[in-house]
Amino acid sequence: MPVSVRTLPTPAGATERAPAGPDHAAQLRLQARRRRRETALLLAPALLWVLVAVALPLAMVVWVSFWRADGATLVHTFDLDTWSGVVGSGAFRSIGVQTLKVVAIVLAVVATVGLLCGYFLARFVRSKRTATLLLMLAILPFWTSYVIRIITWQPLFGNRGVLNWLLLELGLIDQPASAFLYNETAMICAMASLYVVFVIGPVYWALSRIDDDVIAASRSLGASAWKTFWKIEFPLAKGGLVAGCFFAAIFLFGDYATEQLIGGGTNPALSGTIRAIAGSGQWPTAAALSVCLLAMTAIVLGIFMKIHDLRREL
Amino acid sequence: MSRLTPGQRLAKGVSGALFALVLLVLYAPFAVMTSLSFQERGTAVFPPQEFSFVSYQKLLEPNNYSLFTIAGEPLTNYFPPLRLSLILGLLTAVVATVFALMAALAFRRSFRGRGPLFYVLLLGMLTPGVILGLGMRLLADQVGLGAHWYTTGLLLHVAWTMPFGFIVFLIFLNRYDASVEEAAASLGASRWTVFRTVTLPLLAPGVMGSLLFGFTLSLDEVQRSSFVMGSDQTLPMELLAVTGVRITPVVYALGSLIAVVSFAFLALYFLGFERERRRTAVTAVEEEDDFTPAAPPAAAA
Repeated sequence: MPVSVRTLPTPAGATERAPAGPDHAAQLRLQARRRRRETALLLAPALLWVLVAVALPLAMVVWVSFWRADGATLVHTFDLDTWSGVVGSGAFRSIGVQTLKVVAIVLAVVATVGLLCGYFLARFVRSKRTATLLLMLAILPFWTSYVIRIITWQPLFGNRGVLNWLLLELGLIDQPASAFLYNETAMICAMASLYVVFVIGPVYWALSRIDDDVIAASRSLGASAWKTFWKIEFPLAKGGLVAGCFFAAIFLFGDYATEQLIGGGTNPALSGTIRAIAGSGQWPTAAALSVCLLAMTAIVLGIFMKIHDLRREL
Repeated sequence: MSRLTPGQRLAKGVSGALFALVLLVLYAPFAVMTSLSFQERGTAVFPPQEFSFVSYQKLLEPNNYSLFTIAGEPLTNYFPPLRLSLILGLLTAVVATVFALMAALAFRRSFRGRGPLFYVLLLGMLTPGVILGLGMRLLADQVGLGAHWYTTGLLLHVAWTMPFGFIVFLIFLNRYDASVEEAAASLGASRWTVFRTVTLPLLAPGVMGSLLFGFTLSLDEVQRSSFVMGSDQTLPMELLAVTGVRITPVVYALGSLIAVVSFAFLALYFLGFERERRRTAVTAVEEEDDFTPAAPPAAAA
């Protein structure tokens, strides 16, 4: 079991003093039953909450995807009309592909940048104090407002924003370029900046736990720094890398606001499409698309768990 | 680390430059936003043309219409959404933390279904937000539950943040020494006393972490909130709605205030955390002094 199991102590060594025999057995049974009840009671609120707030809504989404919308009225049937419409639509298929593509690119960027930054902090910053401080600096913005962070991309990269002003002042361009906002590249950069912190932290922690002697041993045995990285440091950092990508993916698949505000609605992802379609009252279509998005997310997260069982990091 | 090879020096240069770039990209927006919040009318124009506090004044006096002179400027009163977000965030943090702690305590033992239930408890975190928002709305419509912040809103916010608390507690519980509990129990403490006087104080940093996750994630929530808040508007939802109309310096003023307050709050939080850690680390080193003459400096967590 990857999640380590610890049992609570038996109170006041009661079992040791109990006499052997049927009494003792009965007492043990009683104790076991009490523990089971306690476990159930401790779990009940959380499980009940998940049932009402997660499981039932998900079941509802699956159910509604078999309904049909005739104009503005919902027909509570059980047919495959909605599904055949969704599956047969080239537009939805390309949105699905686009979603996966953007997530894959952002994850690749986030993994590369995060790994390098985490490596820098763990290996090239001499003092542990400075490294911790720099890491804190990188993490801090995540705890502030996400909406505020994406709104500020406009004054930074917009037509009359800082970057254009800077480039104009430097004489690198003659007129403001609109290439920095409302397109896919801008959106990917924004998403990477929002979620790179998920990778930097875990990678740093994983790398900083490696004993310096292990690295020294590898080097003194003749391995190059490059080989030491791939044979020792990278495998040990892999858990952090996967954990970071895992959490980034969770946020990415549902993120529609970044796409709207920075992508400018030019590259709709599934999440944004679901929101727009549901907003127009086409609940069954939105539900069917949700099932697709859910399956996609489950597969991607499953792949990450296959690469590295994250329960080992707990 | 001893002398760097040329390749390592290159790696150091590249990764260091990249890290600097990341910090720049993370903080430049805040700096730009703050500088723009002091201008009077322009929206996304840099450098700022004039200097005034009028945006902050608009923020504080949303009913003083004579201040709002920009054509098409949204007349938004941000106080009600802010109050709602704070209340919902606090409520979410407390409920999620209590339930997550209980579940994590149950997970210290083995029981039937423990493996699958682990994933079930994380389901609210793993499911893309839009889907949960849609599903919750459909469910509420089906059973005739009105969509408000305190019904469907709270349900989803807790479902979203509880798994983070659960993970935090599992991490803490897996790293601490259960023998102190055994010691307390063998000295005659009841199970409730053990929990209250030993387990809970040891888990205090975990509780703080879980509360922080619950509060900030809820305060920032947009993915799940779109269909479930009914007519109640949280601050991030209101901000997104306003942004769709027109971004004025008032938004930057609000953003700057939020940033300043949260940076101050987080600085205090981490300072307290660091001091607590150093205090416990120092005592640990002192205790070990008898055994190891040259005690190594306290290692970072």
